[in-house]
Amino acid sequence: MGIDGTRDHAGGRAGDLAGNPTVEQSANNGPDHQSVVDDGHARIAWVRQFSPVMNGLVRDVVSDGSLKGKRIAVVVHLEAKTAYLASVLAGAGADVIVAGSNPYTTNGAVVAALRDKGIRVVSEAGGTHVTWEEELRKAADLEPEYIIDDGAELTMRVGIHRPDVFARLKGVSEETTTGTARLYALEAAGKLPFPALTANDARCKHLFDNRYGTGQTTLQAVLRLSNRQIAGAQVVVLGYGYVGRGIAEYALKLRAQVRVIEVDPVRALEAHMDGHRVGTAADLLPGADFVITATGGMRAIGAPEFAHLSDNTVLANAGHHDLEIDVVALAGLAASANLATSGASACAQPPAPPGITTYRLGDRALHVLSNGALVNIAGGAGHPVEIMDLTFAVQGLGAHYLVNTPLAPGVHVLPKAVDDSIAAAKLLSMGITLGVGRPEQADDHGDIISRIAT
Amino acid sequence: MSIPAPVDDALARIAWAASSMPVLEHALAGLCSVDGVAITLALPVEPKLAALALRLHAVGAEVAVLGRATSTDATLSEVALTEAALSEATLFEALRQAGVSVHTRLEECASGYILGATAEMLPGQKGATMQGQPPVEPPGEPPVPVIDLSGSALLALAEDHIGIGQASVMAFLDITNLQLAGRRVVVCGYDGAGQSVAAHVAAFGGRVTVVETDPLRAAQALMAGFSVAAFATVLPRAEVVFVTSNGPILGARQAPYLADGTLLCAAGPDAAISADLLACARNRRDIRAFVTEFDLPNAQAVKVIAQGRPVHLAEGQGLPIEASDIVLALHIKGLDQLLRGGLVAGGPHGLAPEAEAELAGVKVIAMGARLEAKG
Repeated sequence: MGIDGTRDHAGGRAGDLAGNPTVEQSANNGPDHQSVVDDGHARIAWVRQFSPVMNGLVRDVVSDGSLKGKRIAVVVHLEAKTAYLASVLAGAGADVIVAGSNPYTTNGAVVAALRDKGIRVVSEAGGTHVTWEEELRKAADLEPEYIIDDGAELTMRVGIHRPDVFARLKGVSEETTTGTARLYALEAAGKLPFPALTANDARCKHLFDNRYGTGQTTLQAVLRLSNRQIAGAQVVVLGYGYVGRGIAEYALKLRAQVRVIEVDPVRALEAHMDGHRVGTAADLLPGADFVITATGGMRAIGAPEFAHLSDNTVLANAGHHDLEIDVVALAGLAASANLATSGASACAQPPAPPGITTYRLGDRALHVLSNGALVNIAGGAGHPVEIMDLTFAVQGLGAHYLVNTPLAPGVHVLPKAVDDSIAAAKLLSMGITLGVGRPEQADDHGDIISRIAT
Repeated sequence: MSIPAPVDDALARIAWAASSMPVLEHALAGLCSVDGVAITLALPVEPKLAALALRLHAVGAEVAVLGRATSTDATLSEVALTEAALSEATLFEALRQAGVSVHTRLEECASGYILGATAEMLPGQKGATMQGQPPVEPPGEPPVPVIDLSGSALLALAEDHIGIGQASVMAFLDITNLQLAGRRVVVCGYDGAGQSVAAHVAAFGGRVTVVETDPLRAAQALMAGFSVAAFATVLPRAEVVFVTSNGPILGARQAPYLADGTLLCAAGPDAAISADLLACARNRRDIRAFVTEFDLPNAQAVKVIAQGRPVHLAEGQGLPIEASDIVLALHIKGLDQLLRGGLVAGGPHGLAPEAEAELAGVKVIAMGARLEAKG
């Protein structure tokens, strides 16, 4: 943590500075340093303190014995919040397998603590995409019955690597919009032989996680890495879905001037009424101090857009794909620009601080944070604990629902009653109770309809 | 315990900061010759200050940087010390390699001019700039000329109204990985720093209650939409408390009111959780990087962020670059005023209003805006 601009679970390097000295790891039992194990336990204990829904409702529901012996793979960014979900499921008797959903976000101390609790972890900190693929194959070989997945990463690999395990899968609960789309694609292709829950479609997930969680932590990471001021800055947000809305809202409240680039006219109108400037990239990119992508697609900022950016612009990505900022195209443009101005000046540029890559296009410097990866995770600590308390409540209760409810193969949404119970538990944890509507308060449309003659 | 970051890292941070400080650039361009002048920088050591040190060194000044985090401070936990010192030590090494002197005690610095002095640093100096408390000269000594920036509206804007709020609240969120949304947050003191902390907490959805002794500030807080209450009422329900340097003191006497689990945090360069409160705390345990838990006499456990020191300095980052840009430029204007023709007599003086207006004008242009012509 600290001086390299990353913290917590932001990869092996950050883990090292966070107090995980390079330690020798035996094949399966993790590091031999008690201090690393203790660090991991402390991180998980911190999460537990601020997770009232997990501690109450979720623990109560999943402890009914139905999860005993069920083999559940948990494949989410492997840091303290995910570890707490795994611990709760293991505490309910499930046979939990844990893997990271991204090679760069696995925290070594948390891995050590999970192993210390006797939970099987197939991932190590400091991995690469190659080692990560191996880890997911290992997870598939442990033959899970249920998967709590992120981006359907393990689900799809089980399908390829272990078709026998895939055919026997009893259920998948999916975290993200992207993974949900992949599950629907599997279903459409006739390749989804098990029920899948889209946790992302639960209101207790996307209304909070995508909007407040990503909104807050994206700005945290951008300001932390750049050390820039946001008040008075020109902030451009690309995409006005839940993630874009959250970023724009917090930026506005922090006294930035916010501009929104959106292709959907209804969303663009919403941005306009929220007080943001709306228009095309050519209109809004010049003069931007920060440009943040949140479209969920790819190449939101590509070669045509780079032409509109002013000198000293900071670019960051908050969307799922690491490709929303077309860094490859940007590097190509920078290389040809440097050739045009002869190599000498290109070599004389000062290095950028960790987490920042500077590309020079003629007399303009464009700064990309975290290489265009999800900035709040790659350059920060990920979502706030309280937000993940909601998200993982959806996942934990989703897994319980899959285990206890006969469902046809296909994509399903978590029942509204479960969703409601999570929000009610969160409110209750803060001492807030709600009134109950009386019958006479409901709209009497039924009465009116009955009076219409047919 | 940690692997020291290479000096290249510090140089990169310094260069990054230096590239976005147009107001400081302007002030330095107008600074009279400092060739051979001894200048000690006594402001918090972070990359922006290091950038200034290198610039002054480059134009011939005999620059010394006065570090604080590496000094032995028994109240610092090892974690906080390591992180702050690690960052500072890397900067120090980078500065030393560039030929800038680095000291942890004022006696080691050549006497001359101090930027960001405190009153006790003044004796024996030729001049100083200060932004905190007004200087109290020891009796019998000839007064040292001081440019007192505490009345500067531009300083209040950059440091208090924007910088401290952003830097402190974001650091709190970074350290805790929590939300402020819906949290009951107490801000002790509604001076400039308190106002900006309250505004930034509210921006993230926190529900702010201000504790004040000053009726005017309390009225300001109420009309900004915040609640105002006394410690005894508000602390039992508080989840997070930000203490500023000019607010009512949250000391041992108030300890019984604090709720179990409260997060305590100091906001502002001179702010601190009172030693009086920490003195009655027992069973200190480091539960997370920059978070220490204590038991209070009534058996409540409170969590102190960054050992009760200014939260925005915990990781050695300091104010946002744009805020430091203005703050450092004001100090340079003050230095210029001191050096030009010895016009400044002993004792405190305000910064020349035209100097402040000039810097504000540079900032306006740098933000892409334009002023209307007068008359």
